[in-house]
Amino acid sequence: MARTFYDSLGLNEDIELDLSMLEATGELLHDESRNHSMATMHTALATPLWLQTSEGHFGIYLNRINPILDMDQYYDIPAADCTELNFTTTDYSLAIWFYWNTTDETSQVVMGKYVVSDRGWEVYLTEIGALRYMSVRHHHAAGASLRTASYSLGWAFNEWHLFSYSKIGTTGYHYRDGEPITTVSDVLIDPEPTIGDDWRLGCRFTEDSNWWKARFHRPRVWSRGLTADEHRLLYRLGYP
Amino acid sequence: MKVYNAYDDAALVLLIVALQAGVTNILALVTIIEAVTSALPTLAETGGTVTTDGTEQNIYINANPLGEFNPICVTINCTNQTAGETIVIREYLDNAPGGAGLILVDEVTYVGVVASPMIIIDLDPNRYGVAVTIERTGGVARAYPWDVHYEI
Repeated sequence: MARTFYDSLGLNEDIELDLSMLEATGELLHDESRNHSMATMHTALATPLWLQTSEGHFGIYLNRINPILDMDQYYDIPAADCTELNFTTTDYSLAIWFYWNTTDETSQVVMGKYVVSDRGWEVYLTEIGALRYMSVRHHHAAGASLRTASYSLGWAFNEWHLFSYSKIGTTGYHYRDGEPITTVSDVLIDPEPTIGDDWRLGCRFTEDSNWWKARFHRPRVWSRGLTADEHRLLYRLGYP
Repeated sequence: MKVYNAYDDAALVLLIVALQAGVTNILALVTIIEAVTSALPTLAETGGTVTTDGTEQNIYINANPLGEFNPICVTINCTNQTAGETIVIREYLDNAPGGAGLILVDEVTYVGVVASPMIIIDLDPNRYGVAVTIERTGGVARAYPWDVHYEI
């Protein structure tokens, strides 16, 4: 019987993290990339809420709205298990399906491996007035500036979208649902190394604020810049 | 090769119409090819390490598959197990929509040093859920690296 192999799919070339979320239960997310970088949920309140999406896939409802208590939920991969996400001079790409619920916190960290104004890379959502930003930021204590970033606008509440991104050279390129969108990008300075830092999804690097209040599905990371066709393929291969 | 008169507008319009029809046919074929290739199962793998804690712990679980898929095998590396440990490996399946959930298929107990320390558990096609678990019933906590292969 004909079959394809995960690692021979062009899209999976140089993939470094692929939390496919097939578990549909529990606190662990397993990685389909060859790195086996398992992510663990941390929570101050309640257990992970797995939700089945309209297309049948499973996602996590992170920090769902609780009028009384903060849930402080996030995922973490220990530094020793995510050294491949330590991007400095190389190009890289990111992708995640998400359904943003609220700006209960003005700035919400989607994922990152970083220390602010010092090292690493970070993805975050912000609402300022009526504008909703998705930003990808580099931190570099030894750079000419402590932070350089790219951002895109038009990210709506209560809708599933695929955010994907490629850093190619000194420019960041944002995509929504597989299509390129207007991206305002600084001349990106390479991030400082983050060998000793965890990868986190859903909170600030200090694990105490900027909680992401959203549903999400299948975060992925590549150590190369994806082409525009590959970003489009990401969307076509899987509405959550 | 046919040579067209560049000044014959009518002929050129007919040619453009024919080209458009050809492009439409190509796009339709691409859609069919894409549908076929997307339907091919992909052999994928994931894994991790479970450190036993005395409870029954999931090694591999797919509690609610998107649809019919083919879990092939789970491998468990028992190199770290010593004469003092006893573990129980269990396999579960769910075979009905919204049914009783994961039901025990089989369990095997490994006492002490495992002579051939790489255990391979064959799995079968599945639509509603599958799990392989480990429970330490004797000894101390040990780490068991594992992985699973499946077509999805």
